[in-house]
Amino acid sequence: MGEGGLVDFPALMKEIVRSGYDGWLTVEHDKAELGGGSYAEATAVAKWYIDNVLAEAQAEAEAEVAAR
Amino acid sequence: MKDSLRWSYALNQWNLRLDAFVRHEDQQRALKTVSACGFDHIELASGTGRWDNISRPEVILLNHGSHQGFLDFLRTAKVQGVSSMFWDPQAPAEEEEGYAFRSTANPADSDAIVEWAKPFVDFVAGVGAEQLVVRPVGSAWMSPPLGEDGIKLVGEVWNRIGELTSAAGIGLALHYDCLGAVHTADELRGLLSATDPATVGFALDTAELTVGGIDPVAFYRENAERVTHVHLKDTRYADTGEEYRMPGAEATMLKGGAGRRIERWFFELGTEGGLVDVPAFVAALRENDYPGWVVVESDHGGNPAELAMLNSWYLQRVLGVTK
Repeated sequence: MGEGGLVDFPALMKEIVRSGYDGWLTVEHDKAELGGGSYAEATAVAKWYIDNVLAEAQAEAEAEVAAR
Repeated sequence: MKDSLRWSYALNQWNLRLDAFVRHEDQQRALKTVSACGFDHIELASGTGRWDNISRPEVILLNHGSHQGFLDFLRTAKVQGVSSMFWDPQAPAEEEEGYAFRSTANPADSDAIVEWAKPFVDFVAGVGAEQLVVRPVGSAWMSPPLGEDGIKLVGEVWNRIGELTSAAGIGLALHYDCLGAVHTADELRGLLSATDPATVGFALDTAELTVGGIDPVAFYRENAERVTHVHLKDTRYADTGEEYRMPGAEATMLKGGAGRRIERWFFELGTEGGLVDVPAFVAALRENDYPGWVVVESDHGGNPAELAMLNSWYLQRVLGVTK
């Protein structure tokens, strides 16, 4: 996540919060090892993205919902 | 890490081979990994030249324009700064006319080594780092034993560089390694005695001391006043047969298994069968109100990201450090 991919994760996260979804969000990496990548690094980079980018989107959406 | 000790992470483990850690996007992934694992400072390691673009001051500055430009690059990944930089003046460095080999044990090289140190001193100070961490002397197998006088000559070079680091407002820390020509505890004490405590500190590496047959906890307690920098890592093996004297020990011992099929010497914290008593060592640091950086590293290890995550897990779940 967060490296030029086509999915708009911040927008998705905001919609997830607005919808009241209370299930699990599971990160996965199919074929992370192709091209010399590593599953461990892909996992760490995803965690970084959650902590630093998605957390912000989540907080913004939660503030919106609280202000309704 | 939210702790009274200051924790940093060494990037050296990502620099596995010449072309593996050159692109900025690869460096950003390593920085994000370090950040996700709870570390907001890094230690850099000097390299040989143009392929190590995060390893030499002049190349870092060419890549990022300025000290601030480099800090901005780190902060893109939420890494806030540099704790320290490791430099080995014995390692060959690219110069205009080829690779230069120098040794602190050779008095004829002293002036050139002091001159060589200056860009590192300026860079460490320029990025707001605290310690220039150095390999004080080359490998033992490459030269006859130094003896007391030889160790004093080595100390004199570092006293000269200690004046430079002190004037620049940073520290100089001599890093013991298990292959170095200063090998036994007495030789190490001799080197510390030959250097000025006001300007030259000691970088204690828990695994390197253990491989070299020196108990890191006891040596720390004996020399706590001189310890200004720490490298924290574990090992499963000690050098039991003067393997550090094997010809080409960097390859034959550290990479070649020392003739007893040791696949790697250095391990992540909490490794099964680890010889370093990490909780006791960290407790000793806390008892002494150790003020310096504790740099976690796993050089010559396996997958860098996996090791960083395991080290982070150990800090949080075993040592009780809050991320």
